Amino acid sequence: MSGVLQANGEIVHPASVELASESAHWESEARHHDLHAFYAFRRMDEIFCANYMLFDDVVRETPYDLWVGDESWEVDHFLHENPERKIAPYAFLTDVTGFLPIDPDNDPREAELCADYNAEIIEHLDRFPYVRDRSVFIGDFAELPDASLGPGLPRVREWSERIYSSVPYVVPFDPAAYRRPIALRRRLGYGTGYPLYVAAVGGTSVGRDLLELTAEAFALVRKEQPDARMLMVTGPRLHVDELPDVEGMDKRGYVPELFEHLACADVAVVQGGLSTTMELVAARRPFVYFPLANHWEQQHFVAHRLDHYRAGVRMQYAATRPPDLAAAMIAAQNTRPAYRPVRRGGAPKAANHLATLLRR
Amino acid sequence: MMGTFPVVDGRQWKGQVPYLARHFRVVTWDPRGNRRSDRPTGPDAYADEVYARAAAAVSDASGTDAAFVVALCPGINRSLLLAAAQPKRVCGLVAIAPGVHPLAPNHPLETVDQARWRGDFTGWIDYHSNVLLPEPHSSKLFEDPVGWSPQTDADVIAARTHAPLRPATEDDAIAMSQALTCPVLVLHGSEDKCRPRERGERFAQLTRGLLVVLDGVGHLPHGRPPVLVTRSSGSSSRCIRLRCHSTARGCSRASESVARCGCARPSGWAMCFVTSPSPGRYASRFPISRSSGWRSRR
Repeated sequence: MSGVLQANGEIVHPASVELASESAHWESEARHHDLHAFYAFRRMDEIFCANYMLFDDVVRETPYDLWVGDESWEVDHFLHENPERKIAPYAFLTDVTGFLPIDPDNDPREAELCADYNAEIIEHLDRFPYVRDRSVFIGDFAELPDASLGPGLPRVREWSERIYSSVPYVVPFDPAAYRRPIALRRRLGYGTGYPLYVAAVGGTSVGRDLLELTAEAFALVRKEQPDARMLMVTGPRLHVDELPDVEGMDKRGYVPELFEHLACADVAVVQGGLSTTMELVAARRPFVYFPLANHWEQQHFVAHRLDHYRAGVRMQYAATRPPDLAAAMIAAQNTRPAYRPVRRGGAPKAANHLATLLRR
Repeated sequence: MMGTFPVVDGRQWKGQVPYLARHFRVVTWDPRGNRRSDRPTGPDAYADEVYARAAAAVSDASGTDAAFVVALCPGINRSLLLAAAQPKRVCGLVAIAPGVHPLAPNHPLETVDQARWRGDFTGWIDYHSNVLLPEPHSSKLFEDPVGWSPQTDADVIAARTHAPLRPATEDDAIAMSQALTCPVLVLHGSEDKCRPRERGERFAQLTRGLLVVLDGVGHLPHGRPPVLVTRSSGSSSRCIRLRCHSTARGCSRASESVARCGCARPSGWAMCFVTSPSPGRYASRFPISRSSGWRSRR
C-alpha cells in the first residue's frame, strides 16, 4: 500500500513502517476462500490498540489541521473511548455501517456479538457526537441492506441516514471516459478480436484459491475459445510462480491502473471486494464475483450493493467446480450489462465535506 | 511488566507492550503457574516472596538493572518486596488495583476449591472472569483470560489462593508502602469487584503516589481502557508530566471534554475520573452471555 501511495506522489509518514500488519492477520485467518471477517476483526484487538497508539503519537508530533479516517476503525473506537485524545477536526469515511451475522440460526453467539458491537458503536456516537466532525457514507443509502443492527437496535439504513452524510460512490476514474472498451484495449496493447478475461483478487494472499480455480476454469474456456486470453493479477502477496501456467494466461503481480484493464475486459473474475466490483459496475463490464465465505461485509453489504446496481454474477467458491466457472465466464461474455448507473461526483462532494472542516 | 495471579500469563499486557516497546525496553514474563513457567505443587511455591525472587531472576537474566514496574493486583506485593530487597531496581511503579490486602479488606470472592467449583474449573474461570470484568461490551476481554486458563489448572490456582502473602499485616503493609521512594501511579477502577477502591486510595496515600480512579472500570483497566493505561504507564515511566484528562461522573458533555488536571510528578495524591465505559442506553439490554462454552465455536 505504501508503495502504491508513494508511486502516486503521496507522502507516506515514516512511522507507517511501525504499524502492526492487518494484512498478515487477515491472511492468517483465511482458509480456502473463507474468512470469518467478524471473528477475525474481534481478534485484531491488540493490532487495533497498537496502531491507534502509533496514530496518537504521530498526531501529537505534528499538529495536523484535519484527521481523515477511511474506515479507521481503531482510531474511531479509541477516540470514542478516550475523547480527550481528539485534538483536531476528524472525519470518518466508510462504505459499511455495521456488523451483520453470517449464520444467526446456527451460530447465535455471532448474532449476539454483532449486536453488542453495533450497540457499542451506536452508544459511542450518541454519547460523544463531537468526536466525529463529519461522518461520510460512500454511496447512496439505498445501497445499504435494510437489516437490523440487532434486537432492539435501529435498522442499518435508518441509523446510517441519521449518522452519516451520503456521497455518491467514488471510483478512481470518470466512467464516461471508459465506455469504449475496444479503443481502450488498443491503447493498452491488447488488440481486439478475441475474448479477454481479467482475474484479480486484491492485495492479500486470501484469493489464492480463487485464482487457482480460475486458472483451471480458464484452461477449460480455452478449449471452447482457443484464442481467449486472460490477465491474472496476483497482487503483491502472491508470487506469480505460485500459480499454474495456462496457455493464453498472463500472470502479473501488480498492474498499475488496474481499473483500465478491468474496463476493457469482456469478463472479469473477482472476489467480492467492493472497490473492484464497483469499478466494474461503473465501467459496465460483465463480471463473476465470489464473496469470501463468512465475510459479513462481502456477503451482506457488497452483495446488496451489487444487487442494487443489478450487477455481477454471484457465485460461491465452495460450490463451484472449474467447469461451472468456465461456463459462467463464457455465459457472462455474451451478456450486455444493464447496470443502474453509478452517480457521479462522489469525490468532490466528499472533498467538500472535508474542506468545510478546514475552513472552520 | 510484573507477573500476576497465575490465571493469566504475560499476554495480559498485550494492549501496552507494542506502544511501550516503541519507547522503552519492555520485559514480560509468565507468572509461575501459567504458560511457560513451572507448576510446582503446594501453596508455599506460590508465595509472594517466591514471585519477587522470580522477578529479580528475570531482571538478572534480561540484564535489567533498574526498571519502571507495571503491576496488577498481587504484582504490587511482589514489586514492594523487590523494592525492599533491591531498592535501586525499582525506579517507578504503576500499581493497578493493588493487591496489598492488609490496607483494606478484599471483596468476597469464591475460591476455586470451594465445594461449588470442585471439579468445575472452567465454571470457576467463567465466574472469576465475570467478576473481574463488569464493563459492558467487553466480550473479547472476557474471552482472553478464559482462553488462557487451560494453561493452568485448579490445583495451581488453589495453591496460589492459599499461598503466604506479603505484606502479611497492616503494619507490614504500611511500612513497606511508605518505604517506597520511587514515583508511584495507582490506577483503580471504580467498579472493581475484586479489590476495593479504598485500598488503591490508601496505597496512593502511603506511597505519596498519584491516584487515578477510572470511572466505570473493573479490575482489568489495562484491558478495557488500554489506551489510558498505556499512556499513563509510558508517561510516568519517563517521569515527565503526567496528564490525566478528567471527567466527573455523570457530568455534562462540555465538562467531559475540557476538565483536566495534571501534576509535574507524583506527589501527594489526587483523584481523577476518566471517561467511563459505563453502560449506554442499549448495553443493559445486551447482557452478553459470557461462558467458556462459546469458546469452542471459534
